[in-house]
Amino acid sequence: MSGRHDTALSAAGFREAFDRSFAVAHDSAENQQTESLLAIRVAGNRCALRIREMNGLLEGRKIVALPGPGIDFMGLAGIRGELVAVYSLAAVLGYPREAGHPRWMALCGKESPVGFAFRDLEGYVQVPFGEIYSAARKNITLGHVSEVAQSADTVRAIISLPSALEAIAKRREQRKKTTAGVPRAPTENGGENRQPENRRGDAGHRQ
Amino acid sequence: MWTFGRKIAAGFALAFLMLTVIGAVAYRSINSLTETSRLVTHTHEVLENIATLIGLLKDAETGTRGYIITGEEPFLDPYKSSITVIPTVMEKLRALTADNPHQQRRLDSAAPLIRAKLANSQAAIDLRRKGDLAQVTRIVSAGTGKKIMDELRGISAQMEQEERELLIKRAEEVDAAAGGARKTILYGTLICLIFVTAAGLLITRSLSGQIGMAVRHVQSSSVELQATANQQASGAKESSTAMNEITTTISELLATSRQIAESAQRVAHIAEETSRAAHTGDHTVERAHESVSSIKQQVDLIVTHMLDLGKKSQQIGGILEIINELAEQTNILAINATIEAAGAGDAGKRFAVVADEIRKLADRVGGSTREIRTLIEEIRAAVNTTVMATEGGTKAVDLGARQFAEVTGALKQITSLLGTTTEAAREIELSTKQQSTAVEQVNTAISYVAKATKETEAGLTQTLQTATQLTGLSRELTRLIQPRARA
Repeated sequence: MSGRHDTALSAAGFREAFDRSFAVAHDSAENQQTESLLAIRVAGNRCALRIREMNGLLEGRKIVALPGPGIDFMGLAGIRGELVAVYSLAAVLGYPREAGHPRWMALCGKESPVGFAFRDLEGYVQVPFGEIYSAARKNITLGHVSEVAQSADTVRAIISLPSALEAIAKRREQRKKTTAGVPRAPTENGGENRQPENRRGDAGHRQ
Repeated sequence: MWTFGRKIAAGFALAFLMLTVIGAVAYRSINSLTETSRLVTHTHEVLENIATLIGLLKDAETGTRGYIITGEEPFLDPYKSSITVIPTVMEKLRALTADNPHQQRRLDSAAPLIRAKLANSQAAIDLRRKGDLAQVTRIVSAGTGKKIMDELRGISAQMEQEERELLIKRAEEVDAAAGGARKTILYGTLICLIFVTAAGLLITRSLSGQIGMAVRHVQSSSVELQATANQQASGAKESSTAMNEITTTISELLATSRQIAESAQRVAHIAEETSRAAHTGDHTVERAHESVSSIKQQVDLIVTHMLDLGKKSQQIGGILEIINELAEQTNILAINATIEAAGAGDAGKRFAVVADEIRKLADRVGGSTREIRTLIEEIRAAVNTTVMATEGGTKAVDLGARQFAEVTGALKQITSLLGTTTEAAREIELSTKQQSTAVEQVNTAISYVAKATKETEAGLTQTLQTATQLTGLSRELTRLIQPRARA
């Protein structure tokens, strides 16, 4: 039967590709000239997150909703024994919050990990640096997006997670200044107060 | 409304009545006139007899005087004839004046005078014959005879006077009767003419009106009759043509009936052969029914196997879901491993390669699971289609089995019906022959009817001519009755 023959060929192809990947040099020029991206959709728009700016990808984590100052703050989630503030990635980018419970969460930030929740994950892609352009060149003006990646006919806005983290940190500092001396419950910065120094170096600055 | 006969009879009755009245009056007047004339004649006869009597007396006196003077016997002839006739005349006068007592009394007075006169004369004659002239002269000179004669003349004059008076009276009566008769006849005739003319005018006007109306009705009816006769004549022509066509058609029908009889005979033979073939087919169908039952069992087995196959496919699908879930989790782990490797810097590059390969492998597994899911869906769809087709086949087999049973029953019924068909075909053959005979008779009858139609056509032509003549006659009659009216 042709189906069984195709399946056998496919298995052989898998085995050969797997063996070949270990046969080539790890620091080959091909690997050095590509950017690893996580292809996602935010509010129906094609976007991407840099792998190197992430601390992890989590699926189906429970988010405990808490009241917060910003519309993008969703609540807290327990991850690897820590409480992590979770933001809606769509709201962070300026879109309305996506309806329903988001399935995926991108974790980032070394000292104060923050989770950005989103609903649709399209997969892992590697884009040559030559196909990464500035957002202005593609006439895309979106918060925390300075570059876009083009593969084939698809243009994805690359969301800068460090920029988003910085904006959140600035907003947090401003609230600290305005509410100094007023005791408050740990909500948006709950993890910040109890786990101040437990992360590795900031990945957002490792370009 | 009075009928014509009654009106005419009334007119004639009125005329008859008037004529009867006029006739009666005229008859009465004429009778009266005749009676009066008869009385006048009677009076004249009385006067004549009176004159005759006086004349006879004068003749007797004349003969007596002549004989007395001459002595000659011949001079006595008037005397002799007078004395013979005078009694007769007296009797006649008595008879004629029997209804007049005055005249009877005068006659009674005159009779002795006549006898006395005649006796005086006879005495003179006798004396003359004896020759005694002196005595004769003395008798004559005595004047007895003259006196008697004068009295007789007086009586005669009275009688004549009365008779003349009667004559005048009767003449007046005659004139009156004649005048009444004339007036009666004149005025009666005039009245009768007026009545008869009026009645005639009324009857004529009435009859002219009614007869004119009737004639106009007859005229219009005759025109309608003419039109109807025209239509009927044309219809009769069409009927004649149709009858000819019917005759031709019936001839063809006769030929067809004969062909049907032959066909029915062949049908009877074929029905017998079909009956034998149906018997054979019955056995064949029974064997086919057994084969269909065997097929049904095999199809049921196939359905069971296909349902098992469907269940197995569902189980494979479940396992595939697990594999797909594992692939997705592996992919997530590989992505996280890549993230961790990226965080590890150069030390993590080799691990990044492994993680990337694991991710690719997971992607490929995911793609393969999707292909397998597609294949399984296709298999399940095929199984479902096969099950449905098989169930349809089972139903078709069941239906076929039932239909075979029905076919078996139908074949038996066909066998039975074929026997009936054979009998029916024979009856049809017989009936068709009888029908052929009947059609021949109908053909003959139709020929007669065609002849009758032609005769009817000729009769209608005659009727048309008669209607035309009737129209002309009614117009002529209208002109006769109402000359001013246009027919």
